[in-house]
Amino acid sequence: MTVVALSGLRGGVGTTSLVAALGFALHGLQQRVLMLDLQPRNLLRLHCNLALDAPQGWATADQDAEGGWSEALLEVVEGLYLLPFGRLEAGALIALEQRQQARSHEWTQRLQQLQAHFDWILLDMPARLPGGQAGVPLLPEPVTRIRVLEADAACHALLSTEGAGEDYLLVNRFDPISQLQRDLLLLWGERQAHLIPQVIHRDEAMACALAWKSPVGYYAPDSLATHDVRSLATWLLAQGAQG
Amino acid sequence: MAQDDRRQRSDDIARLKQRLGEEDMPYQDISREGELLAACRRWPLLAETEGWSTGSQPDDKAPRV
Repeated sequence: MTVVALSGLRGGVGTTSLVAALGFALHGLQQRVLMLDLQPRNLLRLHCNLALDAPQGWATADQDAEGGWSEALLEVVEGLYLLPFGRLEAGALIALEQRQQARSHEWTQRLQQLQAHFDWILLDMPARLPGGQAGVPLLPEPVTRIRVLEADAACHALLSTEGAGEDYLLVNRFDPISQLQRDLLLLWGERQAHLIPQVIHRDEAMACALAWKSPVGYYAPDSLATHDVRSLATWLLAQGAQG
Repeated sequence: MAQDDRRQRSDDIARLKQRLGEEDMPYQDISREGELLAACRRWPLLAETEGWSTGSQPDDKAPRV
């Protein structure tokens, strides 16, 4: 089993839609996949056609009955599962963050429980500040970390000032018409050893997929973004085979 | 993809080096360096992160503080 943690280098780079798209693509390659939402904003579920007002998730289940987090596991289609975050009120969210700080290895144990059932567990993580962030759980090693970024000046500045450590870098919403984006990709290709050699192109289908409440691969199987994500899934499989 | 082309080119050079048995052969990808140079001339932020002196702006478009 491989755990892949995806988080934005900054917010708003399209991480959640990528998690859904990648989960769908890996499932299409006959892999058993769990998509796990660790973002309190709880949006990943919308790619799996859950109702907007559905409150269920691992955090709410755990609140109702301690240890009940896995009750919220949903089968999207055979072999593709989703564990939504759930909807917590502000007070409950603060309590959860405090508990996660006190029991920082909670998710390590939970992922160990899950690992027998899946080939891949994809984590939708919040964009992190340097030095970690309250409420973001510690993860087991080894975990493949992917930082999602756009080829723009803000991401370049953050890469230069904060770096991304050993994390892989995945360029999302790449637009080859843009001179700036081409220049940044060229520079990153030279300077960033962990840049994934597959970009996800800017594609309206990716934005439409959420409005259609599905992963992009289901909404638009022949779109450019779907092809890109499929190549990314194949690349990840190859990395797993090497590792 | 353009990046693949570049990788392919690097592979060709690696193979050529192997063939010649000249591990230390000095080689510079001039076209790529030229592209990087042009990118840094276009964008002061890129130049700054590449360690270029930012004392003078490359053109008059950039605001002066």
